[in-house]
Amino acid sequence: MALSEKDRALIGKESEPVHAPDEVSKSMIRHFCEMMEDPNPLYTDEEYAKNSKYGGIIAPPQMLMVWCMPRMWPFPEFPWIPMAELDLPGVDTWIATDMIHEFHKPVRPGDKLYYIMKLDSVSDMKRTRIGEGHFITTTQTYYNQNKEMVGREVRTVLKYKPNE
Amino acid sequence: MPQNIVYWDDVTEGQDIGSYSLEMTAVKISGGAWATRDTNPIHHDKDFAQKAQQKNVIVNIMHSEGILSRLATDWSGPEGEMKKNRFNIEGNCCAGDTMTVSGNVIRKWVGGEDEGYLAGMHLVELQVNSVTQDGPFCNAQITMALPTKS
Repeated sequence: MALSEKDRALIGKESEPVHAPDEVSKSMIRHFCEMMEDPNPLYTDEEYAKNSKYGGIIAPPQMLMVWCMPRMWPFPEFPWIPMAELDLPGVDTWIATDMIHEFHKPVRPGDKLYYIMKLDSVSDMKRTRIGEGHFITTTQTYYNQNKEMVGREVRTVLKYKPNE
Repeated sequence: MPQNIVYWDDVTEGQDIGSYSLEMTAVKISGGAWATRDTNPIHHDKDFAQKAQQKNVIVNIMHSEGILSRLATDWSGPEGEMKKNRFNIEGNCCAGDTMTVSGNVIRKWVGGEDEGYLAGMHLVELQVNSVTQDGPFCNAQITMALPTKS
C-alpha cells in the first residue's frame, strides 16, 4: 500500500526543539555507570578527569539520548513532531530495527541539551517476518545550550501489524 | 589508579578486545531502565512482561548500548574516544539470564576527507556482540579514535 498524500507531505519536515528536563548532572552519570558497572574514570573520578585533556568530568557519550527523555510528572507538553502526525492506517505496534549514534562533542555536567527530529523517510507498506508495516527513519540532532551540535541519532523503526 | 592506553599504531585487525559476563538480575535491569529514564513497564513489571510473551523483565535499549560501549572503553582506556555506535537488537535478555559481551577489531584506518567529523582521526572499528545462554541478544559496530605514538 502506498502512503497517503498527507503522510508523504510530512517527509523531510523537522520538529520544534525538544528540551531536556534537566541539566546534565554528575548524579545521573553516576547512576548510569553504576548499572553498567562502567569504571571509566572520566565519568566519575573528579581528580583523574581534571588532569585529563577534558579538564573535568564528561558524560558517557552513550548517554546522549538519556538527557532528553521526558519526565513522568508533570507530563510535558510535546512540541510539534512530524513523526507523531503520521496516520499510517492499520499499523499500531513499534519495534526499533537499527540505530546509529554519532558523538561529535563531549557533553559535560551543567550542559542543557535539546534535539530536533527530522523525518527522513517512510516506506510503503512492506511484508516482513513479523508482520506488514512501514519502515520509518528519523534523525535526531542534539545540541547544547551554546547551539553546538554534540551528536546525532539516526533511528529506523518498523510500525507494523503483527502476524495473526 | 593507573589506566591502560591502547595506541592506534599497535592495533591489528582481527585482534581480540576481551570480554565480560554479567548476571542480569531484576534489580540491575529495572535499575538500568530508570537510570536511562525508560519508564516502559516491560523493564520493571514481571506480570506485564509475561503478558507480552517474555519470561521476565527485559533489558532496555539504552542499558544494552551502555553495556556494549563499556567493552570498547574498558579495552581502549580513557584516552580512546567513542565516535560512532551502530546498534542492533537481535533477541532478548531477561532477569535471570547471564549476558556475555565480547568483541574484536574489524577495521583500522585514518578518517578520510569524505568522512566529515572523523576526517584525519586515527580510527578503529570494533565488532561487539552480546549473547545470553539462549543465543544472540544484541551487537554493535563501534568506531573509536585512538591516540598515536608520534
